[in-house]
Amino acid sequence: MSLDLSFEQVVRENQDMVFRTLYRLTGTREHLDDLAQEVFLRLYRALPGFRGESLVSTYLYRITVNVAQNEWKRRKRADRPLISISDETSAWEDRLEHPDRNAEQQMAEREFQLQLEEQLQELSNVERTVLVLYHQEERSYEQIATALEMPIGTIRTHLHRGRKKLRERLQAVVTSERSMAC
Amino acid sequence: MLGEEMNNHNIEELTHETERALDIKIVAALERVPDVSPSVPADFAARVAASVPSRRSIAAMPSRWGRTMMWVCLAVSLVVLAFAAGGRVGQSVGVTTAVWTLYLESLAIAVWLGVRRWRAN
Repeated sequence: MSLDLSFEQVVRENQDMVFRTLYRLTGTREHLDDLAQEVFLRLYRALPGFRGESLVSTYLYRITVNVAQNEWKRRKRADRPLISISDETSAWEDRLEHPDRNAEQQMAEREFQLQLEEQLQELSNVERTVLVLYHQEERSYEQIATALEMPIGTIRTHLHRGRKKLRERLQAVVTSERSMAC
Repeated sequence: MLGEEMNNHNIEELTHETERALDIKIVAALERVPDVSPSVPADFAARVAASVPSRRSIAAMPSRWGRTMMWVCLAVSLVVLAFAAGGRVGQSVGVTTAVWTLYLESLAIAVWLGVRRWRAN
């Protein structure tokens, strides 16, 4: 009984992190509830083997990434196109709106955010995962390396490569938009 | 534009500055946390906790069979080793030493286990 109660607390404390990481890794709100539930069920199965709080959080990231990977594979098998995150703008719109900024500036920021999210989905799975864990979740190289079971050097490479690809692609998008406008 | 030369250094600097500005924008956009609160059902934690199977405590009963068999095996090995050690005359020194070593080791284990059991009782 006490274990179930404490597990409920673990879920409550980590649910936002799991939902937002899954959302950005999969690029859609579709099945988010089911995927998050799968993450916590896997965690529950593994809980008796844990010895420390830090291990739980690291393991939770690992499970979240694994569940997202399974979802990518499932979509690939089903041959379903990825739903663009730009179709579901509410998550970003709410965050971007700021009373001090003018509408044009907000619009430009929103557009840039959506372009970035689209380009993020075009990266390889591992690059996207490293970028999300490093920038959004503010995990250290060591924590990401532990969660993904990769050497720190590889994490650095993926992070650098991912950012470079994003910059090049976004630059290309901006250039093409400018040339179309002229 | 006569007399105007292309300054490569300035162009490079401008490109670097543009890249740096874009990098800053990219990092800021990546660090922006999506608001997923509307996607998280209010009862999510309770629902997940209710869906997991309850854990039953495993009753760890000491096996009497295992302990009995251990004593039987120990006794048999002691008898066999005693027989082998005091048996045939003319066996090599190496074999005799090995047999006596095993015999004494088994005897030590038997004494140690016996003392432990006696203390536990």
